[in-house]
Amino acid sequence: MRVPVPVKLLGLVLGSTLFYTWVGRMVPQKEVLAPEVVEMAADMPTEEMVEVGQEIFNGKGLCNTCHTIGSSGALRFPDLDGIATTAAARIDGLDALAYLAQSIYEPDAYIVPGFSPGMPAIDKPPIALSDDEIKAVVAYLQTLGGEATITMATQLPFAAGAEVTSDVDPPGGEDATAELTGDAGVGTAAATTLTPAGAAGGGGAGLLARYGCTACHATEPGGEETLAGVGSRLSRQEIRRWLIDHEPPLPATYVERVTLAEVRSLTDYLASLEEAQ
Amino acid sequence: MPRPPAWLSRFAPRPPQKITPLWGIIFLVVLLLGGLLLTKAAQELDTRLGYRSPVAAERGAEAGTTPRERMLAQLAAEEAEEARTRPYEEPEYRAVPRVGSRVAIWVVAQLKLLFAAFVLAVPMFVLIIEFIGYRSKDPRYDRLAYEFTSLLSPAFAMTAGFGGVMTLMLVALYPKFMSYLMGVFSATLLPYFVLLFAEAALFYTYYLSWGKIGPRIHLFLGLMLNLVGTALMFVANAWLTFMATPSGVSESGALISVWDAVNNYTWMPINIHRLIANIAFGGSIAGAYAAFQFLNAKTAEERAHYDWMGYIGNFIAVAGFLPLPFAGYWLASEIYAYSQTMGITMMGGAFSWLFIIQAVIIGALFLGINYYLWLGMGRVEKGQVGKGLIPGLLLVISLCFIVWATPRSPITTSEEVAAMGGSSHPVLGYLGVMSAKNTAVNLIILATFVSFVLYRRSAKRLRVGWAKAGTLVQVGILLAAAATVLFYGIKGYFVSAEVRIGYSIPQVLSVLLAMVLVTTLDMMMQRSAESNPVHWGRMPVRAQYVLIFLAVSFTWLMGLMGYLRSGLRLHWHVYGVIRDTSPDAFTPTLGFATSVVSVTVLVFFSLIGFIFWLAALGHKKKLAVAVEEPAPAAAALPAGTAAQPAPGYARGPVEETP
Repeated sequence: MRVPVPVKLLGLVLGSTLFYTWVGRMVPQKEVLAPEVVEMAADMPTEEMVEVGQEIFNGKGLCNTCHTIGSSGALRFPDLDGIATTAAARIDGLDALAYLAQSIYEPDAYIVPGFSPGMPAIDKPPIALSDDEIKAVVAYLQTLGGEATITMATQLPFAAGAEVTSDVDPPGGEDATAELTGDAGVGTAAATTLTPAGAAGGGGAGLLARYGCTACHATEPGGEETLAGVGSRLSRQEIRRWLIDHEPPLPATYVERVTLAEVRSLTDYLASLEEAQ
Repeated sequence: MPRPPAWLSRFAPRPPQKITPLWGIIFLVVLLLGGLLLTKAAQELDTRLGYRSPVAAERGAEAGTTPRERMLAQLAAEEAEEARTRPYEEPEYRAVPRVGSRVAIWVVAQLKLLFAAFVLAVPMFVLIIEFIGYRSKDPRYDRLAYEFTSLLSPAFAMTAGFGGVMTLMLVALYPKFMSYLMGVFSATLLPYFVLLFAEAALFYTYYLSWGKIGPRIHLFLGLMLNLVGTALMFVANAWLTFMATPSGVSESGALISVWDAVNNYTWMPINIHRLIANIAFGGSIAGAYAAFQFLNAKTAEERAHYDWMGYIGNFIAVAGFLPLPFAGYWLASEIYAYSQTMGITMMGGAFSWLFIIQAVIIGALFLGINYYLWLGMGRVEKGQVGKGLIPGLLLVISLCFIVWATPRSPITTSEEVAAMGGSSHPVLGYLGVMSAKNTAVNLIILATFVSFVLYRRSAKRLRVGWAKAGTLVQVGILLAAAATVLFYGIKGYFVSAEVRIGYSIPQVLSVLLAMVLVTTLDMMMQRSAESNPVHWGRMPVRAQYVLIFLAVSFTWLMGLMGYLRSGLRLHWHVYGVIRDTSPDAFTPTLGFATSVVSVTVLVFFSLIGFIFWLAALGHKKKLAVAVEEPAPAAAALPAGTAAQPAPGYARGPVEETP
C-alpha cells in the first residue's frame, strides 16, 4: 500500500517530536521549588543551628552548587573542608567568625589565591538569606574542622546594623525550635516545625512519615521495631544499606519513588537519633 | 450527433472521483468533533433547564419558575450584591484554568516567537537572493526571492495575532508585574509601536510592489524592512533580557537609568544570538517548504525548482547554524559575568541535563545536514570527488555526537554509585566534562564544513595551475585546526578550571580561522573553474524528508533553549529584583518542559503546514505558466529518484551552484 505524502509528513513530524520528548523524559527529573522562609527562634541552641545551617547550605543557600567539602583537584571555588581552621589564619585581624561573616556578606573583600571572584553577597537577592539564616550557615561552617560556637545572640560583623566585632558566645539552650514556613511551591502555603536533624516536612522525619515507615517503626523508645537510638546501634553505612536493602522488602511506593538525596537525608536523620537518645 | 449545449454539461454524469484515505480521516475527525460539541451543548441545556416532570412543569408554568430556577436566581442576586459592595482590589495574578497561567503564556509566547523569527529571518536572505538576481540578471533568483516572500504574508498575520493574544494574556494574568515592566520600559514603548507599524508598512509595500517599481528602490525597501525588523527585535529583547539580567534599577526595582536597563548584560549577546538563530531557523523552514512542494510536485520543472529552493534553504540554515555555538559561548560567558550563581545553575545545576537533550538535537541536526549534503553530490555530474571521505566524516561526526551526549553523572542507583566509586563513571565520566564537549562540538563543525567544501568542489572543475597545491594547503589548514582543537581538549584535563575555560577560545578561533582561510582559498581557486552540470531535481525523495526533519529539529531546539533562557530566572520575574509569588513560582521538570515544547512545535507545524498550502496555491499556477514546454509526467519517472530535469533547468543557468 502506498502511504500518502501528508500521512508520511505527519508521521515524520510526530515521530521526531515524540523522540525528543522521550529524550527529555529520560534525563533526571527534578522540580526546583522556590526557597522556603526559615524563621528561627531567638533561643535556638547551637546544635540545632548547625543542622539548620547544613540544610540551608545544601538547599536555599545554594552554597553546595559551587563549594565542595572534601574534594581536591581542579576546583572552580574553594573547598570548604577544614574551613573553621583555615578561616582564622586567612586575614590578619579577623578571627574565624569574622572571616566567615565577611566571606558571606562581602565575598569580594578577600579572594583565596588561585580563584576568581564570582560569589554573590548572600544576604542580597537572588539568594537573600536573612541574618539569622546566615548565622546558622556560619554555625555549620564552624563544624567543618572545628566546633560551632556561634549562638543566635551573636551579632555578626558585616550584618545589617552590626558592629564590626565578633562576639563569640557559648552554646545556648536545648529546647528551642526553628519554625519553617513558606510556599510549598505550588501555591499551598505550608507551615511545619523544624526539629533537630532536619525533621521538617522534607527532612528525615517527614520522609519517614511520607513513605509510611512510621506504620511499623516508632521514633520514641520502646517497642521491637523502634528507631530510637538506631544511630548508636548501626553505622551510617549500615543504616544506608538497610534503607536500600530492607528486609522484608519495602513496598513499591518507597522503592520506586525514593531518591538518592532522600536516602541520604533519611540516613542523616536516623544516624542523628543517637544523640537524641 | 449534434453536441449538447454547454449549459447542459453541468448535468452530465461525472467520472467517479478517487477519495483518498486522508479525506476519510478528516471526515471522521469532523464527525467526532461535531458529536462532542453536540453532546456538550445538550448537557449544558439539560443542566440549565433541569429535568421537569409534566406535573412540575405545569406547576412551574403557573408559578413562572421551578424551585431550582428560583434558587439559582437568588444565588445570582446574592453574588451581584456582593460584587456591588466589594471594594476594588487589583489581583496580583489571575489563573488560566487547568493548564495554569505559565503554561498558557509559555505556549502562546513560543508560537509568537517562532513566527516572528521566521518573519524577521526570511527578509534577510530574500534581500540577498534578490540582490544576486539583480546583479546576475538571472530572473530565477528574483522568482525565488518572491516565492520566499510570499510565505511571509500569512506568517506576518500569525505573528501579529499571537503577539496580540500574548500581550492581552500578560496584562490579564500578570497585571502587577506587567505594570512594573511597562513602567521601567515606558520610554521604549512609543519607538516600539512606531517600528511595528513601519515594519508592517514596509513589508506590504515590499511584497506588493514586487516587479512594479524599479529594482533599486525595491532593494532599498528590502534593506529598510530588515533594518526596522532588526531594531524591533532589539527593543523586545531589551525587555526579556532585563528580566534575566536586570540592570539600571535599584535593589528594590526603582528605575535609575532606562539605557542601563536596556543595555543589560545579556541584551547584545541575545540580539546577536537571535539574529543568527533566526537565519538558521528561517532557512530550515524555507527548506521544509521547498521539500513539501517537491514531494507534491507533478512535473520535472517543479521538482527541479523546489530541489534548488530546498538546497538554498538548507544552505542558509547551515550558514546560520555553524556560527551559532560561538554566539552561544558569548551569551553563556555574559551570564557567568552577571551572576556566577545563574551560570552554575545553568551549566551545573538544575539545567545541566538540558544540555544533554540539546546535544542529542544538535547531533541529529548535524547528521541530517551532512546527510543532505552527501545526497546532494548525486545531482552533480562527475560530482563524486569527495565520496571516499564520507565514511570518515560520518565516523567523526558520530563519535563526536556520542561524546557530546555523554553525561558527566549518569542516572544511577545507589548500588551503581557505590560500584563506580562516585556519581561519575570511572572512564566515561571523562567524556562528560567541558574539555571533551568543546572538542566534540568544534570537530563536528569542522567536519560539516568539510562536507560543504566537498559539495562545492564536486560542482567545479578547477583550472588554476596551483589547484593541487591549494588543495593541499586547504587540507593542511583543516588538519591544523583539528589538531589545535584536540590539543587544547586533552590539555584541559591537566589544568585548573580557570585556565581550562580559557581554552575554548583558541579552539573556537582555530575552527573559525580555518573556515575563513579554506573558503577564501576555495573562492580563489574556483575563479576560472568550469561548472559540472547540476541536475536539479535529481535528488532522492528521502532528502526531502531530511529537510523537514531538520526544520522540526530546529524548531524544537528553539523551544528548548527558550525554556532555558526563561527558566534560568527560577522563581523570579526579574532576577533578584521582582519575585514570582504566583502558584507557578517553581521550575518544572525537564520532562514537563519538553512536553510543552513538543505541543508548541506540533501546533506550529500545523499552522505552518496551512501556510505552505496557502502559498502553494498561487505558485504552482505561476510555475506552470512560466514553463512553456510540458515536462514528462512524474509517474513515468523512475521510482525513488527525482525527475530528470526539464531542458530549461538542466542546461540553463541553474548549473551554477549558488
